[in-house]
Amino acid sequence: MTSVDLQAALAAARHATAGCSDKEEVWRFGKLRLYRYRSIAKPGHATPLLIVYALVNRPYMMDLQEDRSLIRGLLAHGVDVYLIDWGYPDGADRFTTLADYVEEFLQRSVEEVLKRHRLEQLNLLGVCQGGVLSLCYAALHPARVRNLITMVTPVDFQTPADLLSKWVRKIDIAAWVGEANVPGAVLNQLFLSLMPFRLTQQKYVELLRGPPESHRIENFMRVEQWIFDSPDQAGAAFREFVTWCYQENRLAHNCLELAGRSIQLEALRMPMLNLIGARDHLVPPAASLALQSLVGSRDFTTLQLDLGHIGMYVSARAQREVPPAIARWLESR
Amino acid sequence: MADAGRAASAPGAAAQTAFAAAERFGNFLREQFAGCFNPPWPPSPGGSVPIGSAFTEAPAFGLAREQVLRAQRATEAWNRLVEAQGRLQRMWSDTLRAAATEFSSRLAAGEPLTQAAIDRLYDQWIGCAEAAYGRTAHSDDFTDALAGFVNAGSQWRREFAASIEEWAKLLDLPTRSEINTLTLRLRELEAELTAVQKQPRRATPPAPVRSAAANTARPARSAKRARSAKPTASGKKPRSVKSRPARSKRTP
Repeated sequence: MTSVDLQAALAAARHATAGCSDKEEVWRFGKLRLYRYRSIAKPGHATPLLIVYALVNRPYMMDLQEDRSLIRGLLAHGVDVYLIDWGYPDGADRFTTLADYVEEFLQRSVEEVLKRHRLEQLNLLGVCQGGVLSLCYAALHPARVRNLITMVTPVDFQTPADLLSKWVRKIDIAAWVGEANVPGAVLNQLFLSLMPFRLTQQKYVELLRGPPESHRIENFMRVEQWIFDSPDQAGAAFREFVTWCYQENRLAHNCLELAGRSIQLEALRMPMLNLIGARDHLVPPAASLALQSLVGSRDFTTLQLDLGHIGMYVSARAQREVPPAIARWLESR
Repeated sequence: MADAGRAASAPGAAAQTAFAAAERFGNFLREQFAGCFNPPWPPSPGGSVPIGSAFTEAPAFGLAREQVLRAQRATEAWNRLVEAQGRLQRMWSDTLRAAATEFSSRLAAGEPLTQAAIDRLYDQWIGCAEAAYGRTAHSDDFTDALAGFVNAGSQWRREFAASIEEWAKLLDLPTRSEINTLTLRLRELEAELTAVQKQPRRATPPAPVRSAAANTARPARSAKRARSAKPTASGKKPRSVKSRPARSKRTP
């Protein structure tokens, strides 16, 4: 493909936006929005599934486009899907803490879903950092979670392959954050610097190498939109997350406390499914694998796929394998 | 000339000379890039003395003591930042050199330059570069330099922000610290309100309708009165406070 072809293809794809499945806002609380996706198949599960995404990126990665949407895959298997959109924190949210996210925002969202369905329990799917929030919530409110699914979720934050963890351990996070929010662009730069040659060069050369098919270019543009559409991080929550998890590894050592309550992973006795990307450079497999030995659940399934962190959401293989695996696992419980 | 002639006649000597020259040039570039973030002002006399050390070591006293101390702290932080930046930059140069060495060792001689071969070469380069970078990025030297850079930057920013706040106060402009204080107060109020809303309503004993109405209406009226009873520009109380009809409407 010549640069002229590429330019024309990119110009044609510039309006491509992420998000393909119909959804309805069912509740809002401050900047948080709770969405329910419209079913596209006969409902097969009585218990709804609430997806808790990370704070550091936007949740539409789960529903990028029709052939790259884990949410669409779950809907096709009859799963009733809810999703929390945390919104974009601004300066007024700088003192929002992790406890606020778990005990206020997540808890209220769960109660809202349960109220709508007149149920006592729901299924929870936590993705990446959202998985950590889900683990905390489930440990504090085990009676509310029927099945817990974690996806590319770090638990042991100090494994040898964890470059991010090595970097931040010697940094004075309190001084770096101060009382401000952490700009999403700064975090983006940090993530790109984990593999700078692949993520800032090779990716764009790959774009030039391939055929100028509109579908491929639009897919590229949507992923770019997702990567660089990074919300700022509420300063207090970010400081707590990095200090407590990355620097002190409290979650793995069972000494994390939120709002004065201890998070004991041993309290997690519900059925659990842990999805791991074998080539994940952000959350190395060992960081996720540690979960099984820390929880009290006897019904624990680990599914490791030969995928990277982002491939876990958008790769063709993930589309083929992840939604059916989740749906089957839920169906049998 | 004679040396050059002997070097050229020995097998591989020319290549060695070229290699040595390339290495010297590489070292030159490495140091140039390491110093590219130095401040534009000239170094202090003596060369090895850190920039601005005469200032940072000067005693601070008198009316401007606090300002001088802050400026000294900021300068020290800046010096540490520049030093850490130089260390990081040298590691970057070494990484690129290691990647290039590994890449050149993998090159197959005489391969025709087809598009597929170029693609393969490029991928090999990326693989070598990421591998070399990975070794550097995981090393203690790199994590120390990175932490030094970030921590010095944090301190410099804090001192700089404090200076700006001083100026803002002099000009009676709102500062970030003041806004943060207000935000925290608002959060506390919200938390208190949420706690009150979560409390189950107290079961009040049945009381005569008249006295219940009086109990609820009076505080509301007095609160309203307190708000509206601020002195006006003329020094008189607002007229609405004395307004009988409005009062009789609220308490029929």
